[in-house]
Amino acid sequence: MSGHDSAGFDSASILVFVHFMFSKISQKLPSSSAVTLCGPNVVHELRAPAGTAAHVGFAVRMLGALGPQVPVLWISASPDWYAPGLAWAGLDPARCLFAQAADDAACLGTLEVGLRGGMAGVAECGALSRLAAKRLALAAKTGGSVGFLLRHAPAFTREDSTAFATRWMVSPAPGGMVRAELLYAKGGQPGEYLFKTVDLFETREEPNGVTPPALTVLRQAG
Amino acid sequence: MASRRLLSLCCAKPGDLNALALWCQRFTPLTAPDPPDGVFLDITGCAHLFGGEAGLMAALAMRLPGARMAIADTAAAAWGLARYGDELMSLPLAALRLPPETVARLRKIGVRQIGELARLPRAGLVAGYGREPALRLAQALGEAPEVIRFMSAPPSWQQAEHYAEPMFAPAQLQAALNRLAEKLCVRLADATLGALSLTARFYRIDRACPEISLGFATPCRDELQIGRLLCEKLAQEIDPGFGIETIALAAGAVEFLAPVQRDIAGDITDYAVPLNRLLNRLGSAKIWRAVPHQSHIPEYAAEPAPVTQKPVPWATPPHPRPVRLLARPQPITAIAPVPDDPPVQFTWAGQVHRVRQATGPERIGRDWWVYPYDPTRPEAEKIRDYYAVEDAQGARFWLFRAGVHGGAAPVRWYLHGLFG
Repeated sequence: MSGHDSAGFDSASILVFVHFMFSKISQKLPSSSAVTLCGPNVVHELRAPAGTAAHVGFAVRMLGALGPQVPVLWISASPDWYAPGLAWAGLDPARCLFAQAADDAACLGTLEVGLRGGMAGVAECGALSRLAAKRLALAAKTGGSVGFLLRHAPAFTREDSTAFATRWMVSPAPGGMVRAELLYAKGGQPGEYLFKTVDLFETREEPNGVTPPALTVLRQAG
Repeated sequence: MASRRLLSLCCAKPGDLNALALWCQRFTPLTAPDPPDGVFLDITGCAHLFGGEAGLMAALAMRLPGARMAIADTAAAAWGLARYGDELMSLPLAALRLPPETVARLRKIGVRQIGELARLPRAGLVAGYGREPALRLAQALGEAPEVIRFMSAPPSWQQAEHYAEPMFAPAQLQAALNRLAEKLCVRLADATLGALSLTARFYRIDRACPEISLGFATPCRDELQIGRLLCEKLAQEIDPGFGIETIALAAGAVEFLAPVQRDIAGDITDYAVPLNRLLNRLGSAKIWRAVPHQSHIPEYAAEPAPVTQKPVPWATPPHPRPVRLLARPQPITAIAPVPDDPPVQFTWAGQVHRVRQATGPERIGRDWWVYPYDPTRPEAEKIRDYYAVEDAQGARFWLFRAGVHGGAAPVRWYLHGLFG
């Protein structure tokens, strides 16, 4: 880590990212709100049903689409992130740092330090209070970084806060697809998206190439 | 060359001698624990800081009630004087730390004091009573060297403050730490060095010496950052007890750190700042980066490396790898056509998954050349056939079958990872 890399996310990568994630809705939404949805300085909450890791794959794809310079901090109380798997899903593990925290509160505290210092962060936690969500959002805003909070939680809980930019319910779908339900988006409309993941069952044309992901809107609320 | 002055300290209830010797570094950099009940202090050139030798002994006696001490030119003499009297030549032979049987044998020929021993011819003494009495006598008189194992001297990059009144208040201690950090960083900056590790020692008046250790991801001489890290740990780790009278901040390891100009071409984010906070909050074992390791066995394909190490480039693996690898493969029950088809159905944690799509097998064997040959467990038993499968709901798993059909033991199925 030299400290001389150009940090943060340049506007070009944001555009790429917007195009990647919201290529279908970007015509409908004004561009400013699209940037609010998924630019830097925000935290996204990704939920997934228990026993799946669809939200991890979703976070990996979002991080892979963001600028390549920012280090990514992976935090968990029982870390089982697998670096070759991250490489296979499209995120360079050389960018990644892994941390083990004692419990949920320590995970959130660690993520807060990372976000405040300008690192991108992915943390796993069980319970999440509104205060903690607010603190994380503030830390991301101060540090100019993007954070992902991964949870195995139902789509709606009593402690849902509006501090995060988006809240997703990510569940696997048959046929190598991922169903991402946008439960809440600050300044945007909720909707349901279906996109193809890195394909397990087809041989790739070139092992090191990146296949452009296709995004299909299933249903959009409103 | 001026002679050395050594102080031998003898405590009635010494407790932990290493801790006591560490605490004695408050008076001199060279201290050594002296089992079973004492500490040696090399006070050469230090006594004037405490008002001469008498003042130093008074300061020690005030803090260690009941301790006996003496100062002499040699360690052996100081040891005897501290325990047996005031005049070296009139001390009993036990003051030379001779074994009791030697003392008893010398007593038989009428030698009871060191002065009497010194009058005996040395050659005859060695011939009749072994080397030890003559050697100890020579050490006490400064004619033979004596090895004293001093504790490691404080490093050269140390900044210390002594206080006339012991301090308790957190605000005072924080202010002191910030002051020390600033002074130390000025010295480091003059030498274009940065600290890789720092230790702050708090010398309490009740002869305890708690300390804070800091580690850094990259060489650091940022006094604000160091001060903040120290203050964060101060509240958790340091008990001021009856008061702290000396604080010493020392850089353990230093490395070249070129002066950098900050904030001239926009904001350059320095990731060392959050990294240092995390390193010191979680501990260096709890934060790591993954470096590739040349192994086909999935568990060993990535290994943790310290964050201080440079990142190593990764190649994209040629076969599917899951984003989460379970710490231990979870046993599952699977229904699979023989001999090497993927399962059609498997049960994990009481839940049944019907497999919709699968790919594999990817056969991974053990590195057999490492292990001794065992005829009862052939290598075929150690083979793993990995399958990436997708169940009816679309969840993707990484399973493997251990062993082969028709082998010594029936095949076992395990879940090893989850795809994102």
